[in-house]
Amino acid sequence: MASLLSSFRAGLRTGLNTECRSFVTAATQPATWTHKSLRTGVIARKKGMTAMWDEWGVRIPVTVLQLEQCQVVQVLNEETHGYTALQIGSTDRTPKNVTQPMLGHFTKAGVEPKRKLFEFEVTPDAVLPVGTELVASHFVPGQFVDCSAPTMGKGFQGAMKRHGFGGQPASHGTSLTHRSLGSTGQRKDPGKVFKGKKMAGRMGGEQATVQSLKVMKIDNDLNLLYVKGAVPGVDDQFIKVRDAVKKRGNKIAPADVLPLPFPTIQPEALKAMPRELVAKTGGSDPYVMKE
Amino acid sequence: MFSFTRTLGARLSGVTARFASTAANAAKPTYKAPASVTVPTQFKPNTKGQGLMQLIAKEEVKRMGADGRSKLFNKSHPDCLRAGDVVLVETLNSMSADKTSTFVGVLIAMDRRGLHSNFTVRNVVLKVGVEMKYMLYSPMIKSVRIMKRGEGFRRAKLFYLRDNPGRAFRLEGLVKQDKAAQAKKAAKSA
Repeated sequence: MASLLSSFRAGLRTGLNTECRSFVTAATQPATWTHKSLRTGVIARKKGMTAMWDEWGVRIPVTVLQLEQCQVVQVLNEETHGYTALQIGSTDRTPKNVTQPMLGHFTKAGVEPKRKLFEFEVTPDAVLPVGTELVASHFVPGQFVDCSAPTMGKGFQGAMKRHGFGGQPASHGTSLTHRSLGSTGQRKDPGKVFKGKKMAGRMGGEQATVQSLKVMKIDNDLNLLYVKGAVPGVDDQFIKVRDAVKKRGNKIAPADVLPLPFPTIQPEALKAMPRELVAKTGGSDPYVMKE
Repeated sequence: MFSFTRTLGARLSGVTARFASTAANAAKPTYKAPASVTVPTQFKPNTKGQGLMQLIAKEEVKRMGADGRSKLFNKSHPDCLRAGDVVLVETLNSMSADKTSTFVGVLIAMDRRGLHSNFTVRNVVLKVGVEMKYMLYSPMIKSVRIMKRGEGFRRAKLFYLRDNPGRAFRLEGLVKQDKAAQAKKAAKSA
């Protein structure tokens, strides 16, 4: 039994050292985008924040997100699973640290074991073959994205910080109760405190989505996305990045970069691109008075 | 066709191989940037010995400081700014026009933060104390000129000048002198 396991693992290691090829499914036709199409998102890691200046000289804070070995691990389809989705994996992991069930899952897909797996629901025309790597150029500079991740944990926090309560006066006789909740209900009717009453408790560490962040810059060599503004979570957090849901159709990106690469960027187009591409803010000069 | 072929070595370095294994591509396809996208000065990323954020900060400093403004904050350079110097900062009013604004004052603070390095200049204008904080690598800054070197300032941050200015902000004579010198230079070159 042990020898069987070890031989299985040895086979796995040799298998993983070969070139990683993606499988081409039978139903591969050049997919075209329709207004009902939904392409996949990616998993990126939050690397930190910095700033850049746009073409008008305005300083813009940006979050740097890096795509680390982001690959399609499984395709979920209507017949077997009841919905169409892609399971995306991010960041390779050494096989010795991966459980046997998960190793089997990754072997079946023919990809290296990943640290994080997320599903992204897609329309059937946006399905990618297993093993396809998603790169930063899946997004275009100037488009809007949504970023989801667990927020930074803040520990046990009082109601003022957690729910924005007003507290009590600092003086005028208030004794020992400056930051407390105050009243938690009525009197004999209802005679209880309602469920879900906002009180002190653990704050943070929950999933949050920041919507409609603009992609300011794309780095093809380091697989970086610079998004304008802040993104939930700590550094090195796994962030789910998708096309913005509130920018439908032509609003997702400036007209001259549309259509978005569908289902993802073609290798030929990626090869032609320079390393870095910066989005322009557009519009009119904000430092010039409008008449 | 989605066939990304990559060697393990290329993957480990974080660089996706942008060449198909069938290297039968005669001409490299060209990329034409659309109007809403700019292609900045490209550098080759070198991740050896430094983290990702340090690398991109260094590259951005190289890009934004291409006109040599990094020397203003480089202590080993003779043109380095020092707290107490009287400087003249010329800033563009906007990126669309060439009009500039000038501010003269005493440099009271310098903050070294890489790409976000900034300095504060103070002057008394029409009996009102005015402090201007400038980001060193901002594209709106056209030039920074030292009009006079500071003497006798023994601090890195001269915030005490807010309460005890002494004669530090008597700069009208300097400005006049500088204007005359500039006019002479212009006349000579013309």
